[in-house]
Amino acid sequence: MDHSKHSDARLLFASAHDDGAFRVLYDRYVDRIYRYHLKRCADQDAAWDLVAETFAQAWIVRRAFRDVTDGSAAPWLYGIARNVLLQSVRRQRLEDGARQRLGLLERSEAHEVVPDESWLDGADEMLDGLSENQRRAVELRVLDDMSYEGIAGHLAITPETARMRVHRAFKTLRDQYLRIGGET
Amino acid sequence: MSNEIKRRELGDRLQAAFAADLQAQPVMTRLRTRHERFATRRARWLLATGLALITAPSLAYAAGAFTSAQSVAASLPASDVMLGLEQKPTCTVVQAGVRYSCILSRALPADPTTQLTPEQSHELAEARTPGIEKYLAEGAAISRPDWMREQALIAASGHELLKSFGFTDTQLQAYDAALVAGTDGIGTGQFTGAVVPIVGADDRIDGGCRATDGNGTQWDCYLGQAAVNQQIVTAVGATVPSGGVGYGPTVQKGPYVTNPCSSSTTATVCMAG
Repeated sequence: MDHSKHSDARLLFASAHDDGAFRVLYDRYVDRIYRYHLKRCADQDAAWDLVAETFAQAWIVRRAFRDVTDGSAAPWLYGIARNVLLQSVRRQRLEDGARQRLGLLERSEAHEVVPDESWLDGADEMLDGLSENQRRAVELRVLDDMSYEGIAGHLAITPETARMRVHRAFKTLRDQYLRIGGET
Repeated sequence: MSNEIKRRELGDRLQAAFAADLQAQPVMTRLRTRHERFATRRARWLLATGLALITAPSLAYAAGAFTSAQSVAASLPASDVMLGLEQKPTCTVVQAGVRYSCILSRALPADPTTQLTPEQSHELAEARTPGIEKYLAEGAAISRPDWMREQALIAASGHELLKSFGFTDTQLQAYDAALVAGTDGIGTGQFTGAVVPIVGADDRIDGGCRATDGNGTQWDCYLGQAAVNQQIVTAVGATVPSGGVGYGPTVQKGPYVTNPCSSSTTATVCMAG
């Protein structure tokens, strides 16, 4: 079947039982996902490993994809790419769980690269884009697992204001994420 | 090696691995997401509730599937009751072994987010994409300190967003119920035409039902080839794909599509296509 004109969502739907459909999705996005990783790790081989892991994870979780962005899988793929990057930095080695699960990994290909925090500079920039009030509110909400009432008491604001502040911070981060991902 | 060659080689290797993965995963070992588990449970629930009360003649049609219906009903989790899915259906025989008319005692959970404006819906969609569940379902660890860099957790903020839209706790509960029941995307009064497969205890499709009213309380059910003729399912005998896209009473004008490759007795995973 010729999938070339199909939307991303349709490709993912078809890929439930058609690896060829997923290949079209790969061809459609591989360059962008490669640039996304290369920009952060500045190592071509590592970037390709991260690309492979990104698409391997995407394959594994493809059934969970929901067509909520008018047929585009871009935010979903960038989200996975970002997650792969984060997992790699956190574990200080290139993430390879999905490739291992799919039998894709050959140990001889392993790179001696150690991901470091600098790979996440983009993420920090995104947080820096928040106002001090928003940043503090989301820190309390998520890192400290504080209720809105607790945040309100801590910041001397109403719970409703706390909720809105956290929500707006989420939205800002999301918009920045999509913008950075889309341009990469 | 040029990037173009790497790009193509990687694509080839990935595709080969994907093809092997499609062939290799047995149904019973396949990971299921929370939503998929509920979707499967929901289909079984419909089978149990809709068919357990069908009278004896129907049992002659597919004894293997239907004799286990009551045991499936007995296995339904309490959470379904908590979510308001407990049903007391009555089914009447229209044509023994072929067609049954079933009435559920209460409406299925409708999705309140269908009332959002397009802009709000888009915002909610963004908040849920990519959902953290898909990572958690695959066993990926997400530690709290890493939150600030995790888009996934942002996606989990659907409730916060809905609250900011003015959703009440009742509406949030309805939203949750629709999600776990697999009826998300179907608003109040929009169930007419929704289809759901009838699934036997062996996870094979024996037929299907189509909602004939907006609340999802009245269902027209067919067994065997009749369900295919009615364009409720594309085939019977196929192994259900453990939930997934198109599973459950999602509003779809066309039939529930089954994958011909699962019509065999092998345990190969074949998703609804």
